[in-house]
Amino acid sequence: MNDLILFAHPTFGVLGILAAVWVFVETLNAGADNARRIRIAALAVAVFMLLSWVLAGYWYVNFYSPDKALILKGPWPWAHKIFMETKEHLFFIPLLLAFYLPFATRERLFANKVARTMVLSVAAMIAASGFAIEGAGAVINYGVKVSLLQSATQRTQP
Amino acid sequence: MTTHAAKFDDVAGYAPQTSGSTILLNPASSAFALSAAIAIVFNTLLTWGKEAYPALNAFMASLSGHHWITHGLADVAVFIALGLVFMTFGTASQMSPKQLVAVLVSAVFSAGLGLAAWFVLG
Repeated sequence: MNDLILFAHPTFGVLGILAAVWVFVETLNAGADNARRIRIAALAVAVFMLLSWVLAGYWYVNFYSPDKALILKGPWPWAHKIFMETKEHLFFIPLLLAFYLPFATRERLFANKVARTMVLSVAAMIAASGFAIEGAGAVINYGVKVSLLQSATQRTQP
Repeated sequence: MTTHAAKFDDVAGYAPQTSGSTILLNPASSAFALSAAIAIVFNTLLTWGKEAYPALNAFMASLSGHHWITHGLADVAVFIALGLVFMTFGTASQMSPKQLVAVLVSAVFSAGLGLAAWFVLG
């Protein structure tokens, strides 16, 4: 179950990024016919990011401590000190932007250039920061792996 | 009379709200854009505060059981509360939409870099 939560939180993060890209592309082609679709996609971004927050938070608060201890003892302590510390606080930026996106897409985007600029900017920033956070997650994961590899190597050496 | 809206906006019958020659965002969009910008900067400032003052970190942990939970809830509370206040008083509507876009984008970049710099240099 713990592993399911661990894998689910970046999955919902990726789905949030994909939905943000969906909003971006639809907004580039905004018209009266896709206005409803843009609002649905924006709502999907908010829901996916909310789920990612809840699942990541549950895992972080309840299960991250052993991983943190492993990383800090291993050869990549900066995987926690820099990447995890930055990631856990940086995440709130795309989360807040995701919560804002449904408000921004309530405009008649096809008839309001500056509103389109706002939606395009917000969607792009969600996708870009989301990718950065996914990348940081990979580094943290590898920080655990190299620590375990080091322990295993030390145990098997004569 | 040709308005600014008519110049930019291509779909007849769907002209957005305007004020003089400026195309406006709707009140909720303006208000929550400004509140998002402030909440995002607040997030970075709170992170710096927590990291610099362990007592603040401990206090935040005492409120919800973990500092990170309190931190996230505080960010969302600032976003919602300020958004409602700005919408009620029309604060953000006094800014031009282009200014709002610039403020939000600047907030994201400066707050994101501020977070990364703190932990890289710290």
